[in-house]
Amino acid sequence: MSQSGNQAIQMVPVANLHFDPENPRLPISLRAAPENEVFSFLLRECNLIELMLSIGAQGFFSGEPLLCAPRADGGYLVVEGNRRLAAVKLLGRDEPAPTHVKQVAAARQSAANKPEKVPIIVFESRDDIITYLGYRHITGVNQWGALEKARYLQQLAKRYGNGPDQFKILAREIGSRADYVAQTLTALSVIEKANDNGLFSRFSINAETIPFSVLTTALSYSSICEFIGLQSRADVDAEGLDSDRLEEFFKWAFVEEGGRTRLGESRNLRVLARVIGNERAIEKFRSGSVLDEADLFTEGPLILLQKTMLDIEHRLSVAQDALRSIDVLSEGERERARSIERAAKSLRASIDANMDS
Amino acid sequence: MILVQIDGKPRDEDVHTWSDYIELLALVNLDRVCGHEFVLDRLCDSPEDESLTEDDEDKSSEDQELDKTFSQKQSRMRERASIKLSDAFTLCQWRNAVYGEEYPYEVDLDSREIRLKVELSEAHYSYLFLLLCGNQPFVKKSNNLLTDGFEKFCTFVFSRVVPQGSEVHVFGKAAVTRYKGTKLEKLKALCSDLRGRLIADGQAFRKGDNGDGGIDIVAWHGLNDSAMNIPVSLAQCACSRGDWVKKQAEILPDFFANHLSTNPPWVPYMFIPICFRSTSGTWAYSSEVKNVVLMDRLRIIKNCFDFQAANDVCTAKKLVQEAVGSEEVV
Repeated sequence: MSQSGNQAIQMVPVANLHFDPENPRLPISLRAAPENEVFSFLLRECNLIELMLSIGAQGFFSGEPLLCAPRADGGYLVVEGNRRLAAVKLLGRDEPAPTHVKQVAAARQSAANKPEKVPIIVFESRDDIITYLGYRHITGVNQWGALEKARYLQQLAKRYGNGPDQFKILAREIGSRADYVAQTLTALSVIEKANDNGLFSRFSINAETIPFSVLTTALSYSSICEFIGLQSRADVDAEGLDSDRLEEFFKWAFVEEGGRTRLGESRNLRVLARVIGNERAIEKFRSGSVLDEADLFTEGPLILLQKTMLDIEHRLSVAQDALRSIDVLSEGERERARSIERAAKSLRASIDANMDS
Repeated sequence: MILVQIDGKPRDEDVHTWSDYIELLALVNLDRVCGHEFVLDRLCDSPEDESLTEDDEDKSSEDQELDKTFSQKQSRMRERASIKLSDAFTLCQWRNAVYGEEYPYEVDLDSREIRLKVELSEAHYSYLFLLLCGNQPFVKKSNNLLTDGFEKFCTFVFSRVVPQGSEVHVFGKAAVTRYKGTKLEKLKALCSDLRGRLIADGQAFRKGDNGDGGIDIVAWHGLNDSAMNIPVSLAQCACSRGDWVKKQAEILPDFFANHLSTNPPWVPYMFIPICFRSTSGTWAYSSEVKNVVLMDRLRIIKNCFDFQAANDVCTAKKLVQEAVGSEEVV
C-alpha cells in the first residue's frame, strides 16, 4: 500500500469525511444516496447501536484509524471504517435518527464521548486500501455477509485481471480457497444476469432481499448448476445461462406466493436439487405439485426407506442387548413390543403389495 | 413481574425456534424492531460455537469437503447462520399471512426486519403470551406465572374445541377443588366423571404419590344421562420446546391401559405454546407428532375466539406489557 505525503495519523473533523460509494456493504441503490438513507441502511443492517455505545463509552480507538482516500469534491472518502464513521456522525447530531429512534437517542444520552475529530490515514487512491479490506471483512473480526464478500471479490478480481490462476490469487489474498472464490463470483454473475434479464423488476425482488447464501449453496449442487446452464459452480462467466430456466429457478427459490416460496426453507435445496435432476419429478413440480410430492418421483424416498429400515434393524438389536440387563418388565413393554411387531408386519405387507403390483 | 433476557442463542436448530428468537428480540427491543444483521451479530459473537454448523446431512457433498479443508470455518458458520436466519424471517412472513390480524408483528422482507405493531390488540397479547410461554429459558423471573398461566389459557381454549356442553376441568397441579388427594384418589374421582373403568389399585402407585399422571385438563360430555360410553377428551400442556414430543405418550389411552380406561377411548390432546409449523403449513417435523390432537400456537390462537377472556384468566396482558421494550440499551 502506498501512502501519500507523511504516513502519520491525522486528526480530521468528522464533517470532512464521507461514505465510500463503492463500499461493498452498500446496496447499489444507495451509492449516491443522501446520508440519512445510508444511516437508515446501516442502522438496520450493520448493528450501529452497539458501535455507538462502544465509542460513546470509550471514545474512538486511536490505534485503528479510518483508512481514507482524497475525494474529488473535497474532504476524504472513508474506504475502511464506514460503520465507525456512521456511528460518530450519528453520535454528534441532535436530530432524531431516521430509524431506531429510541435506541439512537439512548446511545447519545449515555455517551461520555462524542468525537468531533477522528484519526485517519490517507492513501493515494481507493485501490491502495482495497486488499486490506479482505483481511478485515472476509477472514477478520468484522465479517461481511455473503453478498458483500462477493462484491468485494469482484472488485478485487477486476484489479487482478483474468489470468489462469485468478481464483488462486484471489483466494490467497483473502485467506480462502480457490473453489470458494469461484463459486461466490459465479453466484454474483448469476445475480447480475438475472437483473439484466429483468427478473428483479418482474418479480419485485433485488440483490439485497434475496438470501445470497441460498444461491451460493444452491450452486453446490451440480444438478442445479446444470439446470440453469452453468458448466459448473466455477463457471464465473456464466455465458451459457438458460434465461427461461434461470427464471424458473428464481421463481421457485425467491418469489413468494402466499407468504412462502415454492422452495420453502433452505434445507429443501437438497430436495429441489434431486427434483431438478429427475425428468418426471421436475415435470410434476412444474405442473404445480409441491416439492415433497414431486420428490416422490425421484430416488429420494427409496433412499429414505432403505436408510430408515437399516436404522430400525440396528435399534432393535440395541433394545435386545439392553434387555439382557433388565430383571423386571411391565405390561407396557410387552404392549410396545406387540405394537412394533404389528408395525413391522404392516410395512412388510405394504412392500409385498408394492412389489407384486 | 417477569424479566425477559435474551442472553444466548436460540435453544435448538429448528427454524421455528429461530423465528421465535427474532420475535422475542423485537418484543424486548426499545424500538420494537429486529433485523437480520442485528440477530446475526448477536449469534456470531461466539464464533467457536459449533451450534451454528448444520448437520452434514443438510450440506451437499461438495460443501462437506469444503468444510474439511477450508481454514475459515468461522466464515462458513456465519453464512450458514445467515441462511437459517433468512429461513426464519421467511417463516415470520408466513406467520404474518396465516395468523392475519392476530399476528402482532409487521414483517418487511425487503429490509429483512420485523417490527412489533404499535397498537397491540387482545389477540396480539395472547400471541405474545404464548411466545413467552414457549421460550421460558429466556424468562428469568417467576416462570410459574407462565407455566400455570399457560394451563389456564389452554383450559379456556379446550372448552371451545370439545363438544359444546362438555364439562371441562383442570386435573393437573393447578386443580384445587374437584380432584384432590393421592394420585389413586384423583383417578378414582376422574374415573367416576368419565364413567370409565379403574384398573389401578392400592399397589399401583408409591405411597405419597399425589401426581396427576400427566393429565392436565379433562373434558367430557354427559349426554344428559348417566350411562357409560360418552365422549371424553384428556389434555396435556407442555411448555418445553423438546419435552412435549416424549410427553405425548403419557396421555395416550394405551399408556393408561393398566390404570384407567374409557369406552370408547378418550381423545388425547397435547397443547404446546410453540408454533410447530414449516412454511408449507404442515408440522415442522411430522414424524414427531403421535396419535394426539396437537394444539400448537396457531391452533390455540385460531380456536380461542375470545382473547380478552382468555388473557384475563392468566394475566397475559400484564406479563406481556412487562416484556415490551424492556431490554436496556447498554
